[in-house]
Amino acid sequence: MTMKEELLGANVQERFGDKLSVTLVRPNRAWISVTLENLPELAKWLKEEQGYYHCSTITGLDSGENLEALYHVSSGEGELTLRLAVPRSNPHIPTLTGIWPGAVLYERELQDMFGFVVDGHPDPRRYILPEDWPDGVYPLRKDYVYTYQEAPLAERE
Amino acid sequence: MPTIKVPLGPQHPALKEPESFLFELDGERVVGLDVRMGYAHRGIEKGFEARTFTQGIYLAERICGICSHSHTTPFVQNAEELLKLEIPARARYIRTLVGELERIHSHLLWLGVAGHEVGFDSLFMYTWRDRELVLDMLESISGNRVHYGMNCVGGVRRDVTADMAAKLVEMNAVVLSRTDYYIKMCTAEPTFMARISGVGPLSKQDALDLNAVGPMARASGIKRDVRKDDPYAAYGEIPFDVITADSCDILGRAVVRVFELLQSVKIVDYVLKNMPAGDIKVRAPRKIPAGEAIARYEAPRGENIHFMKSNGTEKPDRVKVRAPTYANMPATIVALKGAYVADIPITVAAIDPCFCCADRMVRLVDNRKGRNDLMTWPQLQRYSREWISRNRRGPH
Repeated sequence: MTMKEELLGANVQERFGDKLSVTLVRPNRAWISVTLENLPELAKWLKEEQGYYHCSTITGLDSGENLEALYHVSSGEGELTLRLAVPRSNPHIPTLTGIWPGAVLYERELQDMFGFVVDGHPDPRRYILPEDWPDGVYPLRKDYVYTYQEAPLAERE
Repeated sequence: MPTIKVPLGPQHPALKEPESFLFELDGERVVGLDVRMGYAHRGIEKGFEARTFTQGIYLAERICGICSHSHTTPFVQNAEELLKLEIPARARYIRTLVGELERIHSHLLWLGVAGHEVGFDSLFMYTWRDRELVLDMLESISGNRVHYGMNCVGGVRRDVTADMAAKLVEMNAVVLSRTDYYIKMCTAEPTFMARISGVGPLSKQDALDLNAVGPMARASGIKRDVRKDDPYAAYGEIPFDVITADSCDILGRAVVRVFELLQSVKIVDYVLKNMPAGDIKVRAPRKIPAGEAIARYEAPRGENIHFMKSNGTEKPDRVKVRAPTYANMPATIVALKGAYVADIPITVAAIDPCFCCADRMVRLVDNRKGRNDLMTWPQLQRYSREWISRNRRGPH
C-alpha cells in the first residue's frame, strides 16, 4: 500500500531542497522539523498543493530551553506533524489561521497553557483559562506547580 | 434596529454540562456568537504527567462519561507503539467490540436527546429504553455500564466467553430490529424531518475549512472516518461502510448517525461471530521507552487524537488529548449564525457536544455579572417549543 506520507518525502525534497526533510516513523505517521522562517511557506504549500486540508490539533511541549509547538495536520489517511521550536525567552509564533481556519481555538489554547505569543491571531483572548487567572502563569509548563491553590474567595476581594 | 446580547450558560447550556454562549440577536435571528469553554477543565493533561502509565489509563477513561473506551484506546495504542508491542488478534477484536457498543449507546443517547430538544419525547423514551439493552451488553462484558476498564497496555483485561458471545448475538438482534425502526423515524417521519431539515446548515466548504470531524463532517458530504482512513484495532479486517449525507443540516446529522447505528450493529455481529481464538493480552513492562507517538480514534462524536511523549520512565512526559467536540466548535459557530433562537437547542445538540471531553481539565469560575439575565436550558427548550408551534414551517 502506498501511503501519501511516503510520497511526501520526495515532494518536500523537490520543493524545499535540503532545508527540510521528512521522517517517516511508521506508515501514516510523518514528521518534519520546521523553523520560524519556513513554517508559513511550508504550511501554505501543504494545504494548497499536497492536500493537507485538516489541522487536527496543535500540541504544546515544554522542553526546557525551548517551547515546542507540534502542528498535527492530516490529508485523511495519515497524520503529518510539523515540529517548531522557539526559545522560551521569546516564544513568538506566527498564526496559521489564514491557512487552516480551524486552528483558531488551538492557537488560543497554546497561548493560555504554554504562554506562546501567536502573532497576527484574529482573536487572541483567553479561551480555556478564566479572566481572573494570573498573568504569566502557564499551567502546562513544567515549572508550574500542580498543587497550586488559590486563596479563598473571601480573601481575594 | 440594535442587536440584543443574550448570554446562555455557563450553567446547563447543553446536556447538563457547563459551557458559555453569548448570542447576539437581531429579533429572532442569531447574528453573532461567542463561545467560552474551560468550565469543566480538570487539569487532566497535567494530571497525566504525575501518574504512571497504568494509572493514566484510568484517568483517560474518566475524561468522558460516554466515550470512555474512546480515550483509553488511543492512550494504550500510543504506549504500545512506543513499546513496539504487537497485541493479540483477540484483544484487537474485543477492543473493537467494546468500541462499537459504545458507539451504539452513544448514538442512541444522541437520538433521544435530539428528539427531546425538538419536543418529541416519545423518541427519547424509546431510544433510552433500547440503550439500556446495549448497556446491559457492555455490563455483561466488562462488569460496568459506562467506565468499562477493558484496556490495558498489551491487550484487554477481560475475555468474552463463548456462552457470553452467544447471548450477546441474541441481544444484538433485538438492537438491530430497533435500529430499523429508528431509520424509518429519520427517513420517513414527516414531523420530525420537517423540524430538523434545513436547520443548522454547514456547507461542505465550511466543514473542510473549519476542520469539522465525525458525523458533523460526514453529514456535510466529507468521507472522513479514522476507522477506514487509518485503521486501528481490528477495523482493517472488518467489512463496513462509511456513511455520509449531502444535506448539510441536522437531518443529515441524524441520518448519518442512524445509519452508523446499523453499521455498528453489523460490526458487533461480525466481531462476535468471527473472533479469533488466543490470548487476550501480552505482558508489558511498566517503563515505556522514550519517544513520541500519535494515535487517532474514531469516537462516536468524531476523530479523537492523542499525543504521547515518554521520557523512558514510568510516567509520561506529556499527554495531549483533542476530543471531537473541541474540533467541532468553530463549525458549530458557523452553523448557529443566522439561526432562529428556537433552533439553538437542537443545533447545539446536533454536534452531540461533550464539554467534559473538550475541556479535559477544573477550576470553577464564578460568574459575577448578570446572573439573573441568564436563560436556563429548560427555559430555552420551552421557548423553542412554543415558538415552533406558533411559527410552524414545512408541510404544516
